[in-house]
Amino acid sequence: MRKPCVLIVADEAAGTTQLPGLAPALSDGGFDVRTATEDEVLASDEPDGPDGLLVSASLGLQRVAMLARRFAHLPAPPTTIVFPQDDLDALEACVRGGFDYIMPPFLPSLLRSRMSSCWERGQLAGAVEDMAAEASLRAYERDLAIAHEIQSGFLPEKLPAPHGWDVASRFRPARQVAGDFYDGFELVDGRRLGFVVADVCDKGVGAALFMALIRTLLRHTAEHTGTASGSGDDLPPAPGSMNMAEAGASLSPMLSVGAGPLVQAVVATNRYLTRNHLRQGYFATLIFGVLDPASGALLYINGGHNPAVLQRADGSHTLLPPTGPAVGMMLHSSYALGHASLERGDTLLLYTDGVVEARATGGTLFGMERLLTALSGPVKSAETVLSGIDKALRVHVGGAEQSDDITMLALHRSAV
Amino acid sequence: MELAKYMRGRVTVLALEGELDSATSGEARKRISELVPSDGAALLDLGGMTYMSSAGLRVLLLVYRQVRQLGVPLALARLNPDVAEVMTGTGFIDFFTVVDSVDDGVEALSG
Repeated sequence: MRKPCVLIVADEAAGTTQLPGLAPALSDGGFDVRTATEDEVLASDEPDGPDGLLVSASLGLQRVAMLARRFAHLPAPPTTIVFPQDDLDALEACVRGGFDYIMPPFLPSLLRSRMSSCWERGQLAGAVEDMAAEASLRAYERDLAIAHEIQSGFLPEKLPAPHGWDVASRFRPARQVAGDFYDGFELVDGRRLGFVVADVCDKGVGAALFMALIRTLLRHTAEHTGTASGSGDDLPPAPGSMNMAEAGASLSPMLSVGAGPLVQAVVATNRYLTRNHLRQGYFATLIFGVLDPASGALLYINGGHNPAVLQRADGSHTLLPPTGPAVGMMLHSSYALGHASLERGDTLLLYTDGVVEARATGGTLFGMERLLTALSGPVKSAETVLSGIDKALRVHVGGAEQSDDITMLALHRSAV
Repeated sequence: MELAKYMRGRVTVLALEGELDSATSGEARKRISELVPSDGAALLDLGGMTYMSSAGLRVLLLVYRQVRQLGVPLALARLNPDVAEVMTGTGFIDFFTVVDSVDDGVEALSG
């Protein structure tokens, strides 16, 4: 069996007279003994270290610690033990600093037993440190898992599906928590269906916190805005926001029922974010749609988001491009209302940039063209539309890692 | 991401190179904000940017806020088509003076 190797580093300035018998006693105790100066140890680029490092306390705590650190990167770093050379105060300082020690007289059997117990304690201390590091990592992962759970609570448990319509969604965060979200809820006593797909800038916990805020502001404002004039009595219109009377005038009375909650939700959310959170610089791109399930009439605001795709039953498609900037960027942003009509057999797809920017292993983006191709076949339901896109995405991405959150929401109006 | 700073008269030019995404945006934001001048004018040269995610847009938004507070005029030069598309889509581009070259930017900001 290999003999354990001990490296002795004495303090040259202190002379060698105070080391009576240390090296011979270690040899007799069954150790392979080497000696080196402090400079030699620090300058050495030898890849292996000794099993034990015996350092003179006379070097002082800092230099002892530096020598110990020289081997700290090794998978099994040596146990560092100090010995007194001529100065017991220096020994005490090192022991207070956490180093184990040996004292003369140096007798082979005593040294051997002392060295082995120092070594065991060193191993134990190392194990405790590893356990502490592991525990803190576990605590972090647990926190993220909790964040993930809480974030799921900010997504709808179930999407409303009015008669004659079906709705499906996908939500695949790239990490534990996401900046994307989608939502779907009834408005105006169930006469309208409100739905949202949004993408908060950046990723991770920061984006997730703002996701929770923005989702809440949008939904709460939409659900609590009156429909009478569409002006929302509880919130004065922001400067720069669209004039509701004007917007209402251009719409039929049937359409304008949903316009109030829609415009108020987006404008008030933008105002809240820019008034209270400007410093943090978070913003969201989003599409907020309000659908009249009876007629298929759709009102929407696209705040700087990827254009939604309106896939017609006859195979043609229309894009719904931005009608205003991203939400939370500027105080005086103005938003126009877009409108469209979904006929029988039509499908509306909302998605985040994680879909069109999904990368293949070579770096090629999925892109709009592949998305439109995946959409182009005959549509049975919202669910089959999304599973078709899922399949096309899988084929394109192959083994590449998902780098951005992927969110999709599809609404399909039954053909019959 | 690489960042270089040089002066063109009273205009501080900050040249960004590489990718600006979630992985690099934290450091980029800190370094750019340290280099933004408190007087004169600032020009961001984005000609060397190969990719900008929404995290990158957030950095630009924070720089915009910083110069607005300082009262320092800011322009963006040499946007590549991909970056320009993202900035146009989000409505972001409307807040900035956008120029084709560093020379144009220096001229616009010195006028």
